[in-house]
Amino acid sequence: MANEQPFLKSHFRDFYLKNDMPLVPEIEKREFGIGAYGKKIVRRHLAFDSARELKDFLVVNVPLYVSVSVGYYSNSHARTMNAKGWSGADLIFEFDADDLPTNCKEKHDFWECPSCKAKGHGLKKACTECGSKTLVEMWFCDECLQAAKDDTFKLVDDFLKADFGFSSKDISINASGNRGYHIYTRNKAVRELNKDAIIELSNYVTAKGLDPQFHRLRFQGRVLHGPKTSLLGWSGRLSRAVQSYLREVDPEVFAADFGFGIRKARTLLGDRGRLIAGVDRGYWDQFKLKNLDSVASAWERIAARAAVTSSAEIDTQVTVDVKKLMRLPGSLHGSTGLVAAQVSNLESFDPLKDTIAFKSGSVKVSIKRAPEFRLGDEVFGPFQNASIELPTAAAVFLIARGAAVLAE
Amino acid sequence: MFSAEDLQFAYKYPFSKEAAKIVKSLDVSLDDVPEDLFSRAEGVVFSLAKGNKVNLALPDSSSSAVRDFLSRLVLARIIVGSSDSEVLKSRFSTAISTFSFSFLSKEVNLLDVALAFLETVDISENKDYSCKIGLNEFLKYPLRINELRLVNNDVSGGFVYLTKDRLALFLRNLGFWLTYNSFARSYKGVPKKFAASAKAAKEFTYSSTATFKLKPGTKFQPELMCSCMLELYKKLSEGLLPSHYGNVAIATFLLSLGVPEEDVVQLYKRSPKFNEGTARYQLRFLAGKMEGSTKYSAPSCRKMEAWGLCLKDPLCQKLRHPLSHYAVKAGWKKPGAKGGSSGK
Repeated sequence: MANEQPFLKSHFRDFYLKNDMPLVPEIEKREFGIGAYGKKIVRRHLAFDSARELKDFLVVNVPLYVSVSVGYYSNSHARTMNAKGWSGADLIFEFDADDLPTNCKEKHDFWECPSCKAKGHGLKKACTECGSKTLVEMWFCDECLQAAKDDTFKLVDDFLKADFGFSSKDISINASGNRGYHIYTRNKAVRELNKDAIIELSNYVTAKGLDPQFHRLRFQGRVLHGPKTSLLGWSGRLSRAVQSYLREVDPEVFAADFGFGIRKARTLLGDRGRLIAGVDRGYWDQFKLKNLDSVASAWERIAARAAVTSSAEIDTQVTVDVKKLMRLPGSLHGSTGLVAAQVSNLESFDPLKDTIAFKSGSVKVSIKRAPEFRLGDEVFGPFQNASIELPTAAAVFLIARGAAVLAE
Repeated sequence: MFSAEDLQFAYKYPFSKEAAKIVKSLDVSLDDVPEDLFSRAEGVVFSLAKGNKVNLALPDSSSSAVRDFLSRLVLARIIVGSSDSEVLKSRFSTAISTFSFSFLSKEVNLLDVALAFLETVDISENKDYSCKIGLNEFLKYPLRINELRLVNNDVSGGFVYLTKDRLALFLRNLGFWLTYNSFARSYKGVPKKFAASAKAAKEFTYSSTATFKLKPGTKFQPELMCSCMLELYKKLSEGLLPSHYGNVAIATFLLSLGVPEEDVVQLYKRSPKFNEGTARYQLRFLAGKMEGSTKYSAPSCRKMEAWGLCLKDPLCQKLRHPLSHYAVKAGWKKPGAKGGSSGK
């Protein structure tokens, strides 16, 4: 990386010279951290009293990664966490395309086993030959970024707004500049939340610890009742998810779930409308089976599955860490050269276009290996030991990812 | 003057502001406490220290009986507070909140009771629920039972909607914390007999609830750990570093169990990123041995779950702490038993 680091630094400096960062609310109460090539945090405990001071620092030092604390501190300049005086935090959520199960990973990710040298496509964390921990090269595409966007919608609409009652002005969304989105919620009430409260909110969103019995799934006499659709929050959500199950389930799966014969399953599902209407009113079990325990456990399993599908797969470790440093909105991501851009309209936001920082010029690079990828309106690759002139954004992207070097 | 209704309310809910006002009016002088009253208060504390249930019910509800009851509780609270024993404080708070729950569960106008404690409680507009409470107020104190956890309640528009039964449970939880937090004051300078009684109660509590710790010379056996901790331990043994929370979890677990710092350092030495100075600094920080640092305890199962480190070991069904898991497997503790004893 002898030439590549100065190349990246020069482009990053140019970007920070020409662009102002979006305002960080209460910047003087935040901790900042910076990173260098291959390491996202090499120095923390930095503090700035104004946006101007921050900008000057970025232009002079040109870090490849810039992070800002979600926490607020009464003495952000202090060198130890204890002395900083934590006084609350933003509530944050992160979606990373890596964590979402999508088929595209077979197309664009690579793994290699450092022990037995086996290799292949896909996101395999253990070697298929010897079981050792693999080295994985993760990429992203429209499909997995769309999955992250879908989950962001689910989080914002179903949980943050509908359940927690946040308004649009309390919520801001940022592209991470890499594989996902960061969602920030800020208001006075959020600042008053303690760590236990944040863990409760995180578990609520992920349905961790959800017990259907506490959502009215219980016997009344010999009849099993479940939550009605008119109920609020998770109870109503479970009920509606069970209705979807009854609407879509195949007779074979239905039979296996409840231990029916296939003929009985077909007969029951012949009148799906009646079953769905029953759930609407809280009558979940309309099968008149003798083994009540097995019916109850079947419904519990289905409700638990429904909870998983209705939940949002946030990175919980990010949410519960009230002192975490997150990518500074508006800054460049050192692993991609893309901007951690603020998203004003999630529907129309294109994470592979609206995050491009370097829009002019071209650079000749030697590429070791890269899958097909899109940036802006152009599709590049796949590449294998290729030497090619690329638009600056694509060249920076590959160099920052360590997949290319500047051509001689 | 307080009405009979005020006195009844204070009797049923000794953690209420009404009870505090009445206690203040009693003008109890700690230097001049009648011997009989003091010994009854001591009786409450020692029952708790032994882990016994305390019967707080009064034979009659006359105003003098209620005043006597409140005086007894105040003195008991001072003894518990002076003991500085977390176990005793927790048991006292549980006893009070359980006592109040016996009334809460029968209250006809439970919402009126709730209004005395909560600012944001209101009647629910949805007839499937009895009331709603603002989300922040609901989350103000840790929720100690699964039924109360946010994910097991219905939340909409920034409010948590509760049935009457769930509201009673919520108020019990609130009663626990209001009582527990009432200990957050200085007990320096209490009369000698309170301090002596507190010291005795603390020693008694300690002897009945020794922590799960390896006795010096006892060998640490990794296979006795729960699968979550074992996974982290294996990672370290293979020279891989767990996540930040994984590191905190395994390090505090080993230190809490009494594994010597040197052995923990040796474990971290296998990582290619190992830096002895940093590792020792961090371990001492977690152990509360650095200036200004507080001792970090090993995370409970609930915290492990929140940190994404819980592997849902079926053996853990009735255990709530990785240290309990080790203690059960090591035979120091019977499954389901409350107390514990140290390693043989």
